[in-house]
Amino acid sequence: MVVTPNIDDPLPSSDPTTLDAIRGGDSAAFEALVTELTPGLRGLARTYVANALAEEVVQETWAAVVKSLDSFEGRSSLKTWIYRIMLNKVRTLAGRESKIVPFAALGLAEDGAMPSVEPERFGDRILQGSDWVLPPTPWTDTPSEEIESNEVLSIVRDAIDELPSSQREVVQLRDVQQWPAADVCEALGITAVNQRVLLHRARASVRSKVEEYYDTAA
Amino acid sequence: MTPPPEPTDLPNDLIDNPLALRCVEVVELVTHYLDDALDAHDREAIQRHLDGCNGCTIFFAQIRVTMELTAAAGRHEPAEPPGNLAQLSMLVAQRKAMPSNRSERR
Repeated sequence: MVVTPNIDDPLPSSDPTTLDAIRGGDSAAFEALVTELTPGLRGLARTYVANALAEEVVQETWAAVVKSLDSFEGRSSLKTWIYRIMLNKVRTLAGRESKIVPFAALGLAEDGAMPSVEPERFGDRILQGSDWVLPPTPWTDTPSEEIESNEVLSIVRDAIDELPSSQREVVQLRDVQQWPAADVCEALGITAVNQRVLLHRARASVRSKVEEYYDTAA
Repeated sequence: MTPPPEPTDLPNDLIDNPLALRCVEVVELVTHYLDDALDAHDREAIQRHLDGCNGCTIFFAQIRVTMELTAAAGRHEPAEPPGNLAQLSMLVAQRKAMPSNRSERR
């Protein structure tokens, strides 16, 4: 079940009073912010490095947040600022440059020739209607509890792990953590178009793996 | 002399000829469609294609299920706080002793 934030009760990260409260020494406000953001930070960090290192990165991130409280200028949201601190640390640790992701690393160059669906599944151009030769088989015949079985979820996790890191971080923020597109662009420093391309590549790859699983199981 | 056109996020119409829209193109536009990033012309072209194409309708549905599965697959992050929380909380609490205008300074 997707957790929907209650609009009347803003999350610490989106509450405009949080930053000033923490700057003023309100440790409860700080702890509430840490409690809200730590699982997501951990989840994203684990897409780069092993669990133990991810934990270390998260701790270092919060230490850096406390140290830099007075230098945060509020040009981005509190949440994306904290995520950027974490991303800088974890990308450096993972041996990847943390500067703006070059075009090639966006997965466009290497994936440019890799469409969402294998081209051989489509036939010759027809004027209207469908040109699928091997159309996908509906998954809806499968009972919903079976759709979300542990086996399928582990296929999905493996498929995400195999994605290029640029796609993995977008899918982690958009589809796992349910961030809005604009926040993802801000945290990752990418354009709306790149964000959408990376997300689509990721979803299409994961869909293929799930399809493979259902087709084999059928 | 006219300056070169500014690169825009999206061309106005991604789809030149809706009647000749191919499935291979439609499957690349699901995320655009779901993110509401298509203009009215393109959105309508996709909708019209989906009305007449069972394969793409199934593909769109599977992308939606994939999104749900991805959300479900990731929902097992440990909720425990980082190990240095107590120490950092103490540092935050010590800020009370700082001059009150501290947080106003940018």
